[in-house]
Amino acid sequence: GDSWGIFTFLCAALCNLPALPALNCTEELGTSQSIQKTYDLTRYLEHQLRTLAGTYLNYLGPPFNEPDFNPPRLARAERVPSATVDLDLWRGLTDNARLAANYRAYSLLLCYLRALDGQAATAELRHRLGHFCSSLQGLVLSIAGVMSSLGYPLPAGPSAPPGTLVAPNDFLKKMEDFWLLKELQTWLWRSAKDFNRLKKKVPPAVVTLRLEARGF
Amino acid sequence: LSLAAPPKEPVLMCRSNNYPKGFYCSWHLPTPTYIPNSFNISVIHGTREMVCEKNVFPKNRCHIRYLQLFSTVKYKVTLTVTNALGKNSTTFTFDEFAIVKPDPPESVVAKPVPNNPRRLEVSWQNPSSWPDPESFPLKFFLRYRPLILDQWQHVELSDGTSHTITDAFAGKEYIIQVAAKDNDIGTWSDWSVAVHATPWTEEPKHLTTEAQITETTSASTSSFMPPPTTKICDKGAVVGSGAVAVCWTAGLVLAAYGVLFI
Repeated sequence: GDSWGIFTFLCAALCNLPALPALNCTEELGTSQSIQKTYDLTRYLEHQLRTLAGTYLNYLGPPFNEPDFNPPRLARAERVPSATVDLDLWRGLTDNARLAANYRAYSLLLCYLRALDGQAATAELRHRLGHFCSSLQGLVLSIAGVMSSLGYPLPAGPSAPPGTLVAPNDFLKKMEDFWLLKELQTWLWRSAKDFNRLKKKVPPAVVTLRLEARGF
Repeated sequence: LSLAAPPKEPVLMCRSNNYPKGFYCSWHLPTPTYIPNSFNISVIHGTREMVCEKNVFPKNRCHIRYLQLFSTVKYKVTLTVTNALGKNSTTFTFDEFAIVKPDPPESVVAKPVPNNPRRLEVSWQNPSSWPDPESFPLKFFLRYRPLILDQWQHVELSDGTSHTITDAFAGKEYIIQVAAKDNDIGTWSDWSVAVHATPWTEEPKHLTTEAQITETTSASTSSFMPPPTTKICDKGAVVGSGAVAVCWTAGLVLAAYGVLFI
């Protein structure tokens, strides 16, 4: 009851990410390097998440920490845009759409994780969540950097999450946490593939041409 | 005379060797029942029941296409085996990413490099069952050893389908294998078919001192382990007189070791 009200307020407060200035001077570094860096970050985060999720799920206790736990998805508005997508649709995404989807998802995920951090009951959880949130923020900024250097506008920052359900009980709140971590894990797996694709499509030569064209 | 029996719990495995197209499941009974058995397989993904199409060959296998990619919901596969005396079943629940395991690389070829007695050029191809190496690149693991030694050398390669071994023992026949893995998810494939190759050597009448010495040392016990001096030759990957001189020195050290062990 009360905690959900605080949660919604926290999210609204924490989710106003500052608008990033256009990164003009760093464009010479090469967009392909930024994409590689973003890819590396998703791999690093995916690895970090394994430890974080293990700790958090143990904190939630059974059945959430059981390996075969496979609950049905409750019919409700999803908090985070799902990584799940039709294969042909995913293949056909423009670079802009692909990057924007990643940016939106991680912005929201960061927001929710920060809220979790605020509620974390143990020092160990706070420490792990805090560290993870820093790294995740790095990823969001990295994606923003890539979009900027390619001349794509950043999607609007996330407002307070729409239709936040007030969890009627402790168990359902834990379910929400479980699904949040699952979404995060799936997005990190997907992003590795997204940035692999982007790597191939943006070789350094293309960036040089783009810079010259813009100069005149 | 064998007694007919109800089925024991079947063994079920599922694997995606053609990611992102889909996956297959295959099964067998741990012990024979001696009477006909029928198998029924069900695949549930969230609330949806999917159809696993039975293969004509091999039997006891079915395949399924992914309708969506990057799914948060697990797949639950249940196999039920029934015969006249009873039934039994088993279930396997997994995440989309957990069962990805490519087939081994194909067409592995290893060739000597002319005028390079320490080199072998290895090349291979992506497994033909992997449908989209562009969007879903594979990384590779190469292992090689001379036939006379038990210890493998390993190299992990994140790019490309070829590699040059630069620290082969001159004149020794090598066995080489390659494995593949999706760059980010799943597990390593089985090892490829093994290929054999021997590095280039000069004509017999110009046999180098090093080659003669290694011929002598190979006659010693099979527990002979190469001393770390071979690393010196690694740095001499550039074929030049300096590198050759260092290799000759290493060869003499090898000779000393060999004499000690005989």
